[in-house]
Order: sequence, then structure tokens, then C-alpha cells
Amino acid sequence: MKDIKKLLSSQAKDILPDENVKQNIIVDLGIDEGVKAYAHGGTEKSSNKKVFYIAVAAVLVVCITVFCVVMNIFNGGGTSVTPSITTNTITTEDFYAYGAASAGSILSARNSQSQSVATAKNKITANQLSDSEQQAADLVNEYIYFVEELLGGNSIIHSTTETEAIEGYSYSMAISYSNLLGENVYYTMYFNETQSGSKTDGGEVETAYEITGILVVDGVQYPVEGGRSVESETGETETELWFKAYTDENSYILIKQEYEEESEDGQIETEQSTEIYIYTDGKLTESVVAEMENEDGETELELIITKDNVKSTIEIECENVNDVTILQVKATIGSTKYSFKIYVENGSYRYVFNDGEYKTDRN
Amino acid sequence: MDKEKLERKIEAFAGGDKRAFGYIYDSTSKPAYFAILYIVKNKADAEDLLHDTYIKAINAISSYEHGTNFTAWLIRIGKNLALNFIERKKREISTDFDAEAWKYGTHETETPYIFDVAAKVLPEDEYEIVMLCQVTGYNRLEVAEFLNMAIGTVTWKNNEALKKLKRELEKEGRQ
Repeated sequence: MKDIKKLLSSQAKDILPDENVKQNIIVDLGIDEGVKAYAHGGTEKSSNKKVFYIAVAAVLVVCITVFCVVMNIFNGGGTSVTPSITTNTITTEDFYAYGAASAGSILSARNSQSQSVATAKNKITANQLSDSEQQAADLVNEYIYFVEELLGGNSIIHSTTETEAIEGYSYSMAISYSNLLGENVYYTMYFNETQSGSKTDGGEVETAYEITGILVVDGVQYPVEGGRSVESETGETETELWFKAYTDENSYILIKQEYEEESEDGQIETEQSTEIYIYTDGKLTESVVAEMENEDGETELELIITKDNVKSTIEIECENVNDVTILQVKATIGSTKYSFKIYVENGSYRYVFNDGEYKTDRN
Repeated sequence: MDKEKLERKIEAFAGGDKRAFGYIYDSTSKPAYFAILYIVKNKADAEDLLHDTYIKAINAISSYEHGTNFTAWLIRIGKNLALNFIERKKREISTDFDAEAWKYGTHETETPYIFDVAAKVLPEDEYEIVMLCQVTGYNRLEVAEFLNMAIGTVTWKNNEALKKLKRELEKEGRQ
């Protein structure tokens, strides 16, 4: 029976409806560009209001730190920077670097139980909180780096070179970033890329590419595969990427990203969305959906976390008072609601509940 | 699937907030798609009909009774369109090649063998359940809500469907 389940789940991508169906409906319904972005998890702009919708599975803190501070440590040709969700310029290789870094961070965290997570949790445990508050703080703390990343905007460094280091793969991509604990993180991906198709429809050109390879994380090699399609017409380019890193035949991390760039009246508008899902034995086991809205200097963020069929939500309002970033948090775990503040200070997060506070260091 | 959130989004969409469509589609498209696919047995046709289903449903959104079951309502629309499509197709020239295209593996109609077998040997409800549980990754509670069934029924039918598929593949020497 297990084989049948594996067979069905492993071939799901060949039977599930194409994403274009959704896109075509949107077009036929006459939903405008801003709404398209909403539907796909991109960016919507209207007057001074900016809305981001992204979907991620952020299981562990290290997953989040793929977006951290720029560390230009690689020499040689082709070095570039992958922008985070809040910046604009993205190259083709950025997509793969982003996918590899995201997958690598999750794989690394799963294998090593992430030192940063352990450190943070130990510090929380040492404080005097009720069990209920502890649960809420743990939940938020697990995603706090991700939250800060969304509010910040940092980058990944990568460089691609032709290589014969591993037989069968023509390219090597070195990827690095610095996590919020100040640690430098490095991954290497060896891969081949092939053009899998190209078609022209009127003024629209669509080209598809695929990669296969291995991602080396903490000395362990994981099979990876991915693909991207680039759809372009006058003044508009839309790129889609999917990236999978396998831990076994039916367990994998799937990362999807869409990036749209549109030029109008000399202005370039971009939209970007990212989805990361974790499948175990062919079943989706973990995911987080994040919705973020910036308005008049204040940011509201909602994370809907689903793990083992348990749903939790974290609503965060961010404001800056006297150069101190304060996060007002409302968390719901099951039917229990919590409310507290987090002060983002030098090297630490200070959690303040109604009846007490505790601090967790970043370094 | 968050049923309450889906209802809120439908209400918002009906009220003019077109941004809600993305959530509605993501939450409901797969059950509707597999219901259609079971009838038309062809991925490209099913995708076209899924498109038509949403267009029709959205245009008739005011007739949806809030708080009932939007997915079930959508599935009904999809099935009707699929059945009409089949009726139209019957009037066209039929060939064995079309009927069993999976055997010949044409590019347009080629789907993995297991899905063709599933469509051939499973009754409609078991097909939909096994596709939603095993292919899309929905949990059984979600599938039970989609299809207006008890979770125990979903569990039973899912297991029955898997057993039938296993037997069929063994019979054909593929397991």
C-alpha cells in the first residue's frame, strides 16, 4: 500500500492542474495587476500602501536566516547578491541561489538541531514565565528571525563558475550568507542546466530551463532539481522558479518563487513571491503563510503556521520609537490568545508580557 | 483549509474585493479539478473545464448561499460542465485511439499510468478521495469537509481505493 501512496504522490506534479489555469482565470475575470499580485502572493501597490503576500514553510530559525546580512566573502567571477523579498533587482542565478540557500538552511537545521535555535530556547527556558507564556514565546521566537528579515531586507551572496570538481556537473555555485548570530553559512551546489523548451506566441516569448544536481550542506550531498520559466513580452518579464531538495525518495523541500518586472512610463515595478513547503513521505507536513502590509511607516505582519495539522497565528505590528524597533505581538495557539511586546535591541530581543519580561540574546 | 476564512473571502469577493480570488482558487481548485478529471479523463480538457467552472461560478457568485459548502457547490458546477462536454464530444467522431490515448502516450493526453488506472477502476467518490488525500496532500478532515462526508467514510474509501489500485497494478504486473 505504501508503494501505491508513493507512486501517487511522486507523480502528483504530472496530474495537478497547471498554474496557468489560475492566471488565465484572473485575466478573464479582468482582475487588475494589483489584484493579480495579491492572488499569486506578490506585491500590491496602491498610493502609499504596499502589501506583500508570501507563503513559506519556516520550520526552524535557520530557514529564516537565509535572508541575512550581506557578506561578500567569495572571490572570482560572477559574484552577485540575491535580494530579499523587500528589494528589487534579481538575476536568473539569484533564483537558484535563493532556493539552494533556503533548502540548505532547513536541511542543516534538521540535521544539527540548529545551534541558534537551541541557544535561543535555552535562554528562554531560563526565565520565569508561565507555561502558557512560555509556549507563546517559543512559538514567536522560532520565527523571530524571519519576522525581522521581512521587516529588514538582507541578502545572499553567490557565485557560479564552470567546474569539473564533481563528474557529471558542469557548474558550481558557491552560496553564502551571515545569520543573525553572526555566523557565516556556506553551501555549494553542483548542477547542470538545460533549456527544456521555448515557444513564441505573438510578441510573447516563453523559455523553460531545468536543472539537476546536488546541494552540499554540512558535508552531506542532497539531490536537487529545479526549473524556471521566463515569459517575456514588451516591457514585462515574468520568471517562475521551482526548486526541490530531496532527503529521500518522497521527502523533500519544495521552494517556489515568482518574480515579475514591468516597465511602464520609465518606471520599473516588481513583484516577488516565495513559497516553501516541506513534504515528508509525500505529504505536506509544514507550512507558513505570511501576509505583510506596510502603511505610513508602520508594518503589520500575520503568520499562519500549520504544522502537524495544528494551526497557529502570529499577528505583529511593528513600529519604531526613538530608534528602537518594537513588535506588538498577538499570538493564537489553538484557542488560547496571547499578547505581548518584543523590543529589538542591540544583540537581543526583549519580550515583555503584562506580568513580566525576559530577554533572549542574539549573540 | 480554513472553512471560515474561505467563507469570509467569498463574501469579500462577492462584495467587490477581487483580491480574494487567489485564496478562493487555492482553497478549492483541486477538489473541483479532480471531480472534472474523473469525468473527462484528460488533463488538458480538465484544465480548460476548471477554468470555465470558475468563470461560471464567479459570475453566479451571488447565487451561492453563504455558510453552506462552496467547494461542493463548485464541484457541482464543474461536473455539470464536464458532463456537457462529454455529451458534446460524443457527437464528434470517436476512435479507439481517443478512448485509450493513455495506452499510446500522445503528448497531449499522456498522464502517468497510475492515474489512468485510478480513473478506470475506481468509482467516482473513491477516485476523488484518493486523489485529494494522496496526490494533493490534504488531510482526511479537509477532504471530508470538501466532499460533505464523515471522516470515517473518507478513511474507509481511501483505503479501499488504495487496495483496488494495488490489486490492479499487481494484475498488470506493475507492482
